Amino acid sequence: MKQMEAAATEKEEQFQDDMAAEIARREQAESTAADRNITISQLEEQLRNLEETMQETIQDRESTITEQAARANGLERDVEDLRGTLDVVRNEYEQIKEDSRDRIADLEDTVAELRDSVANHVQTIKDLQEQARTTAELHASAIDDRDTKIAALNHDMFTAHSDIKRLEAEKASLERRVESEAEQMLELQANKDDEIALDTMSVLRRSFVVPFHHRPVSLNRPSPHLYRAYSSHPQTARLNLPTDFSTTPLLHHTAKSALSNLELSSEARNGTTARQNLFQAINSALAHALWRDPRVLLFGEDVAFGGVFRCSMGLASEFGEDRVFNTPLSEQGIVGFAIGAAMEGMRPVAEIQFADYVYPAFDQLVNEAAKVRFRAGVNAESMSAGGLVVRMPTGGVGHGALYHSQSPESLFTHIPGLRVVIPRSPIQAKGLLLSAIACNDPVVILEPKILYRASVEHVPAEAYELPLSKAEVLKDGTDATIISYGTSLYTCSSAVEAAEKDLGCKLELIDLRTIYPWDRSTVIDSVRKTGKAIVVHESMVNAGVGAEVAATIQESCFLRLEAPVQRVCGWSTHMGLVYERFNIPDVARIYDAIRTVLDY
Amino acid sequence: MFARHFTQPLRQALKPSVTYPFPWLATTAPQIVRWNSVSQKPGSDHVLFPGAVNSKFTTTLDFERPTQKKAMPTYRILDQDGAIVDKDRDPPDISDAELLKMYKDMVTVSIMDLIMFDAQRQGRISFYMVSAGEEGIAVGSASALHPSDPIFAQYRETGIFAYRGFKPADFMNQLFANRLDPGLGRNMPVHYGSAELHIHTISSPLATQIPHAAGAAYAVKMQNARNPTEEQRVVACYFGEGAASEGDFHAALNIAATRSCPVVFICRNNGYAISTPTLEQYRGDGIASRGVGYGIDTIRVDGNDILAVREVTKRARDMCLEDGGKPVLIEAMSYRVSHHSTSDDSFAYRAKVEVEDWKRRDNPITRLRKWMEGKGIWNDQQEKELRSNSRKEILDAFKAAEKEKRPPLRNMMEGIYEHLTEEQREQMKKMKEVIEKYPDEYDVSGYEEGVEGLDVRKQ
Ligand SMILES: Cc1ncc(C[n+]2csc(CCOP(=O)(O)OP(=O)(O)O)c2C)c(N)n1
Ligand SMILES: [Mg+2]
Repeated sequence: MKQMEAAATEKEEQFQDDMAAEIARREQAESTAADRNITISQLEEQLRNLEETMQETIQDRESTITEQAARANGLERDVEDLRGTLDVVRNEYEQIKEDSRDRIADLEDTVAELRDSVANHVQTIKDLQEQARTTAELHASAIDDRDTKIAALNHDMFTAHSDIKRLEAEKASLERRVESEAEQMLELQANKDDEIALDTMSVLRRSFVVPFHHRPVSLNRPSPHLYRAYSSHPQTARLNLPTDFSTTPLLHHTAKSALSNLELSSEARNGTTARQNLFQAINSALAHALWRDPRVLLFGEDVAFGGVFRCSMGLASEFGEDRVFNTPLSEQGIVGFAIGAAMEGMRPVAEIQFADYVYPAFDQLVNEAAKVRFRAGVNAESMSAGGLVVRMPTGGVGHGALYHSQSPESLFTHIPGLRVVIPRSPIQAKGLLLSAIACNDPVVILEPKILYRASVEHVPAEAYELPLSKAEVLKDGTDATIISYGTSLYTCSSAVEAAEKDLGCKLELIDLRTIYPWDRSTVIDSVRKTGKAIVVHESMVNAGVGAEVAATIQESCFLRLEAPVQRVCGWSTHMGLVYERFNIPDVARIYDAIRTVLDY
Repeated sequence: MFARHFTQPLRQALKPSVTYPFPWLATTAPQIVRWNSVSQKPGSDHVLFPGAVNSKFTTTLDFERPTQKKAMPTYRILDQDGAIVDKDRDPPDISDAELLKMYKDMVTVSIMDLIMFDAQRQGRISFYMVSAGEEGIAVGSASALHPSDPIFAQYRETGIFAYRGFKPADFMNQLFANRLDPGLGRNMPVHYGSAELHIHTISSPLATQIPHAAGAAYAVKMQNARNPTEEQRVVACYFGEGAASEGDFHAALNIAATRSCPVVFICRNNGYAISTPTLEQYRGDGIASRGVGYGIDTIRVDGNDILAVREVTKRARDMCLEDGGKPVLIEAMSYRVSHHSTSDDSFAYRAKVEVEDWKRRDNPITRLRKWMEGKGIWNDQQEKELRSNSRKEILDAFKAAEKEKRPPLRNMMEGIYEHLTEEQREQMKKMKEVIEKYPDEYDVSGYEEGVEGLDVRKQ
């Protein structure tokens, strides 16, 4: 029981304790709640504050948004305005474009009309000139008639006078009638002789009729069919035949082969061609240069009417007498004048009528053209003779003798400062001449005059430049290298063809093109490959270009050489008229040199 | 005055002297007193500038304007109808025989020109140049020179060869470059030359002969002094107005003047140098005005008047030998009625009527003919005979010359030096070997001696 009591007491106590604790807890909770209420009211206060702030902020934001919306509206309006303006401008632009198109079309029409009217005028002028000429001729013949009449009258007077005398003397003369009849017999005989002589002339004429008078003639043009050659190849000849320019592999006989030349600019290669001879190719190069560059001038003896070799035909009328003109007859004057023009920034192309007549200008070329750059020192850039080109016809034509067939190139190759170029064909002439004009060193171009008319090929119509101081391998080979330039290349080519056929060899043919400063490596590489070399040129062998080439080969290819270097050149003499064929290297002599090196 | 004073010692020196064994050498002795001061009297109206000794002072600033000066007159005796213009003058001092010779030479040359121009057109010769319209200049001047006067010519003076004695065969052998050609087949046609006739061989490069003539005249002057009893010689030099633009012309006149050389410079001014008209050749008063500039006595003469050319040359020759020697310049005016050469077609640059006009207007041959007919020493019959005879002679020579072979091939190499060089001999041997090795390739039959012509002769 006690236990139960104790337990009840304990339970009571426990209850009491719990109650007390509960009360304490409630009190605690009540105070906490009171505290919380305070906090809540505080928080409520804060919340209110916050709400107020929020409200303000929202209001602020809202007003900002309104403002910005207003701004945006404004901007949109601006954009709208700008768009409007743009449209106006665009319309205007379209309008202007439209108008211009019409104007251009109109102008084009006008130009075409003007062109027509110019053509008409030219025609009218031509007609007038023709009329003038006819009138002049009519006048001339009228004058002629009058002169003849006057002469006849004068003569009649003379006759009348002498008639009187004669009548007076008639009596005496009757007495000498018999004698005079005998005299008449003699006279008749003389007249008969005269007639025979005249007959002979007409026989001569008949046997040599050539269609000559209708063709324009120019000085020393190569006209092999017109004169009896001073020595000709015999019927039996197989090697020494005249070059057949219509088949030679050195000329491009089709447009396709002409345009396949990789040295040409792509512009030229994609263009067309024209069949031209060498003087025509030079003419078109000169026309290109004059057209392209206002600094280009062209002058020399008889250049204005086209030059004695027709290279400048039509250029004076096309480009005006200020740029294409005749000079007085003085080579030193011509070249000196050209150097001066070059030194002050022009690009003069001076023509010397024949290479044979360049010597008066030698001082100017050797002491001036070649040396101005060197002596100008730091001023060389603006005080050189760059842009100077001196052109001259060179070489043999079969009947030029001492002073119309010289090849003086080696006199210039001895002069550092001059570039010396000899083209072999129309294509080469055009490209090399244009390079020369563009070159900032003085260039001497020797144009083989026999090729002016003889060599004809397809020449690219566009302007193009071919590299100076660069040789060209015209034909690959393994057994010997033949090095030449200019006209001789054609002779070499014939000899190569014959030798390859007869001797079963393969020969390499190189065109030096620029003979100073020359392309040594192309030659050296070739001779290192073949081990044999032949140099061919028209001009004298002594101290010629061949000597320089042979010496260089000897220095650079000595261990590869299998035969002495051969030189087939003009002999050490001047060009005697009737000896030219024996002086200039011919096919047989080159063929023989090929045999010599192959058999060595 | 000054010039005379200047040359006085020279003339003195050139006079033969017994005490001086080599009088011609005396010219090199510096006896000439040279200017050594510009001393001047006070108040003098001129100063002796060494470069212009007689120039007076002036206060007028005035340039000499050549365009405002009158052109130098052209001397003539006959008018276009062959009548003497100045009725008061003496008749020309010339015999009938001389007149006839001059006339015949002109006619011969003109006929030869026609035949050979045609011959070139037919391919019989390679080249030719006529002197149509200029025959009078060549023949007239040659007739006034002494036959031993050395001549340096250009190429259009065929008449001097005819006058001095070239026969048709001489012309033809040169033109055909055959074995009888004194030029040994080396020169182009019309590049004649003759030691016998004292005419130096024609050379194509223009004007080079003009300084030669000055030098030759100096040689002749020294030889004259050395041989005072012999004919005193002068040198004659011909050139075109185009050639007179070359530096050599100017050098020649100046050196001839300064060295007082007895040389007659004869310029043929025919209006053209190939296509270039005189208007583009020079701007002064012809070539004559230049002579004045070089201090040379100068005259201009009508080249169509052969009597005037002759008289002027005669006087010039006399003047050359005065004052110890001096040059004289003659400008003979004419017109090139022909093409420049067979290689030229002049109608590419001048109108045919211009040429026809000139041809009709005047010509040295008809002018002299009219004069001779007026004198009664020439008639139609003689004219006909002369023409037919010369034509025949020329054609005969033509035919004969054309048949002849060419000179031997060694003439290709000989004559460069007095003796062949060792190198040349080897080259001739090589050439001969090639011909013999490839006989089918060479035709040497047209050359005298054939391939043997390349044999080197013993020297
Ligand atoms: C030094 C030189 N330059 C050029 C020539 C080419 N040429 C030959 S004749 C000639 C014209 C010469 O004219 P001109 O002196 O008036 O003589 P013409 O022919 O009128 O008689 C020319 C330019 C030459 N022979 N020599
Ligand atoms: Mg002339």
